[in-house]
Amino acid sequence: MSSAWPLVITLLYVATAMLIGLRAQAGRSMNNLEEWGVAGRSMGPVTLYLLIAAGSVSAYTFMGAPGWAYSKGVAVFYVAVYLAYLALVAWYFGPKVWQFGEQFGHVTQASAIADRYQSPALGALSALVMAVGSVAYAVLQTIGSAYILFVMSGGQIPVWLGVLLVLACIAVYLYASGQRAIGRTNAFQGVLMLVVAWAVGLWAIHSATGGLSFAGVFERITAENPEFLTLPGAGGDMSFSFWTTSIIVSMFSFMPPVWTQWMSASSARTIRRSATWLPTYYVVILPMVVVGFIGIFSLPELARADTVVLEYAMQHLPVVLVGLLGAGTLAASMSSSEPFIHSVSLSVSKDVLQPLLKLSEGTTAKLARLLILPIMFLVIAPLAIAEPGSLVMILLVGLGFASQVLPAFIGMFFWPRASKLGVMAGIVAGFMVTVAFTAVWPHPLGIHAGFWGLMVNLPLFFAVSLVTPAGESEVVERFFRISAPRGLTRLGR
Amino acid sequence: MATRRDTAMTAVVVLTSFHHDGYDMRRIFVLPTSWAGWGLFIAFVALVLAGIWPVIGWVNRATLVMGLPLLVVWSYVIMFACVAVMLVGNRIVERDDHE
Repeated sequence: MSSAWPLVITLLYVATAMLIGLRAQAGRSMNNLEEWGVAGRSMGPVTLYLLIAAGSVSAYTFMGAPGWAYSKGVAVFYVAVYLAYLALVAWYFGPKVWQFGEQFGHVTQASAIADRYQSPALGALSALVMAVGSVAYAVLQTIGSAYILFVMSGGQIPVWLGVLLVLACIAVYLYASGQRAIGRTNAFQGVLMLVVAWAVGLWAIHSATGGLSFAGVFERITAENPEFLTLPGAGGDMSFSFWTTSIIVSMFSFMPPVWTQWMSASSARTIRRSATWLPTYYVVILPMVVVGFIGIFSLPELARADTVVLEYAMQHLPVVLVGLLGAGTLAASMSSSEPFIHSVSLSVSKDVLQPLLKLSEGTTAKLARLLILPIMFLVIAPLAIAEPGSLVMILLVGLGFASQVLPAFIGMFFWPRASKLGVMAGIVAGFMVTVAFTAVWPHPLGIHAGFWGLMVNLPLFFAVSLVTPAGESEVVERFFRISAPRGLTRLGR
Repeated sequence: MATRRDTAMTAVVVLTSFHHDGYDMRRIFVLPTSWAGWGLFIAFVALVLAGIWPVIGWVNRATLVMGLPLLVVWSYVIMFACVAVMLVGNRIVERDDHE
């Protein structure tokens, strides 16, 4: 690519994000967990809407999802369905989690688990294992960011330098403004992504069909490649069972940054209002995916499916739109990686190091801010530069674990009899099954490994809970006054 | 304190006190406590069922609706139905004045 405009526009985006992130501090002291961790529980409905929306729309939307459309077809829309269900999850659980945080002082998911089961060990365990998946996720997003800088610069910015540039940019405003920076930058990135996705999508449709209607693209696919329009897709690997179990497992994966986002809201009502409109944001997926479908007949010999949008843009779109696509894709990867980096630092400080080293709240807050630096430059950067082949496996195992923490939440929201040992037994068994069915025998019978894990996890959790002591009644009562404000129901006589 | 209510379910007791001594905690769950709550719960379950097998099998056809594949249109119908159900839910929750 000979023009400098794409790189200029992309770097302009980086500078703007950095400025917004730094200004988010607005003179506040960030040396306490309430401010740096959950933005003083102050976010309004619009910021929260864009924070959650942009956080859930990663580089996958701009690269992976069009790649899936290009190689598999409509199977990619399972993502849109489960994102809508995550809004239902946020609507129901978000206000309760916010109340836990506001009344009991939680700033992390693991703190809530440790409090409910009166077990710092269980909190530390969940913080550490969630950190594995979170770091892997942040590494993947960082690789995506560096790749974008590499392409936009025509190869002038090598991947190692791109990794360091992006992480340095995030580190500066994350250290300075914490969750407030994430809120502000995600709001900016969320709007940018929406505009760029539709501009690029409509321009691509026009260049491919001469019109602005999706129909021109799909009529051609129907005539030439109808297998892309149904399950199991062109690859034949997205069966009904994998579609169904992937949605269920993703829906029950309560990732830690999402809890932090809920706790950052100004009120329980704010979360409910934001969650209500959240599915409307996911129209961002449609135009990008349509470019993937255009690639089926325009770029039939593509070596890497996930580069379909970039390749198409560079061949058919004006340089300004290519630059905006670079900025939009970078925004997607940065807006998704920064909440995970923040969450790992916050949770490891609060739920592992504080109880282990008996640190004060003030020291823990300072530690959380500083910890982002070794996490980013000693863990994420080397992994992103090395691009280990097992990274996706680490991510899948990590996300598989996220769904295995479900018993802890059943005991928090639905069933007061859940015991600490029941939760531990369920998590450990479910995690082992998920690891085995991810790494050794991937997704037996076309069913998601995390779903197999849950099928072992949940019965064990209920059985062990019934034969081991319940939690302290005072603690159970404290939690269920929020989880069940109008009372609990006894089934049977 | 416990109040017994008339529902299709037998022997359902709503515990409005959290002093659960004397009750068999194994059988105590958080469930909707009003008809509106049950309606909302059923709507949530129906939405989830609409997006998975077997319902998804019924819309798995290579036909176009408004220029888009049927499965894509169905996915967006589910997404906007989620918005509609949550809007109704907001009215119920705010009318009942509890979080």
